[in-house]
Amino acid sequence: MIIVDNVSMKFNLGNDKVNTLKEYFVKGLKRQIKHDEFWALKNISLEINPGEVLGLVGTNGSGKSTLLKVIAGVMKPTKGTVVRMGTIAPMIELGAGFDMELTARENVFLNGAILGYKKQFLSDKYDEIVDFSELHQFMDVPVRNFSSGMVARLAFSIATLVAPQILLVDEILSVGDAPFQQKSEQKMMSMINGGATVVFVSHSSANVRKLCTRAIWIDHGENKMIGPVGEVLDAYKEFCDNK
Amino acid sequence: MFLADSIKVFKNYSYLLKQLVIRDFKVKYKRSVLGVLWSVLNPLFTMLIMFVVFSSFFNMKSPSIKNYMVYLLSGIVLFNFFNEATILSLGSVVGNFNLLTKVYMPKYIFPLSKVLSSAVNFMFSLLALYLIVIVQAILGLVPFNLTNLLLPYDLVCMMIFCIGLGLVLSTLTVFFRDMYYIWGVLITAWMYLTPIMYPLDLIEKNSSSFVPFVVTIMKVNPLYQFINFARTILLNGSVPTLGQFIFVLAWALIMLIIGILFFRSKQDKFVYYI
Repeated sequence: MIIVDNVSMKFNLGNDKVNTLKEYFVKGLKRQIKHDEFWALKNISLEINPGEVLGLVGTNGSGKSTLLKVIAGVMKPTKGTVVRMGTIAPMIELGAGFDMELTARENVFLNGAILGYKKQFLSDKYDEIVDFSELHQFMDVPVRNFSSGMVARLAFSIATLVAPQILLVDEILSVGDAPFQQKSEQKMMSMINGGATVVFVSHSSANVRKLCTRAIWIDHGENKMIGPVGEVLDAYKEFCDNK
Repeated sequence: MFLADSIKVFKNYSYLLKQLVIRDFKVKYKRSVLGVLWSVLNPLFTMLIMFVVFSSFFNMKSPSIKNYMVYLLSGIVLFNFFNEATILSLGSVVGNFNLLTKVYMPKYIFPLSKVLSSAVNFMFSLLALYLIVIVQAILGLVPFNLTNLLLPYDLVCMMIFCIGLGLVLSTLTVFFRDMYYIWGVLITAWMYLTPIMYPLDLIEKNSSSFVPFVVTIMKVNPLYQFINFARTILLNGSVPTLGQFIFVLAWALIMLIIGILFFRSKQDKFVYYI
């Protein structure tokens, strides 16, 4: 269950960012510290019921990722509140915090800890991770010697380990070669359909239509439309076509 | 309520903290032949070079110092820990921005893990220091007795002090990247303001009018307190005074509280300064 209540998120745009003392003084003297405010999210409210799969659509820069990050708890909203009930797994980026100098085995535990898993849990699931990634003979090799496809396989296998109560998905991640892509896509589908509360961001209308019952369309940080998936996607498609 | 929540979060992430410290340690010596042995050899060689330079070229020996070698080495080892812990924690939040914006975790875990990693290295330097102390003790040049059991008290206080300062520095660096350079200068000044290579009475002997002022600063200086505590044990073999016990603990707690309050008040703004 997720309740997003009247959430707004304000950013000060990059060109005003004062990162050094010198800039601060120089700009302060010239009175150039003006803050162009940019509201990435404006008064977004929504409620997602347990077990529901909500699609999140919108053009680039509309605020989808910001909303995901606010729900994940990575960013604190400028205004409003977010209530999350249950364990949360953000599948926003794979392999966050991998250390290239460490072996694959060591990275399983490091990356797992970053995702908030316990030691016991990781030890229990270790074989499962290795089996899924099919990297058996490479587990004691430093990850810097891996190909990018192998890194992605390992990262995917760790990230999809749990059956979380809340799952935040930024596109269906299918990684690796063709057989593994199919396997990973299936795995994600089964996670999404596995009874978790899911927020699913995608530019693929087909996937959204297939997986979601309800969808929200945001544009320039505003809630344009929320409702049954078919209606929202039709309206969004029309909007995109007329652009 | 709030404190209970914080402790629960900390417990949940203690495994991550451990993993980060282990990672730092493993990566540090991953591709060197001697590996972890360098953690002992490196401070040992640095210490010996400085000893040769300062005792033979500058003649820093003073009648007030019972054993210049132990005096110098204890100062260097403790200061190096402070140096490494603060410099690493300073960049720890900025260096992990890509993680902080993707996955939720308590942000203080990064400066904290860097201070702990430095503490692990510090343990190995202590081995080097004690190697020297024991050799000197066998030669009958320094006492070696049960007061050494009091040393961990000093070192834990110093570590807490570093954690507090690390929280402050890592926060400042998010807002002003100049901190990398500013801190480099400040820490050099701090090193010379702390009697590490020279005895304090070398300064006191100087007749210049601002000397009393400088000496006061040096004595309040937390690093002087930490180092002096260790030297009381290592050089004199005596129990530090009650004042010394209170002073090091007070510095540790004051810095930790400042660090926590400052970090907490700013941490939600970090994501805007990527």
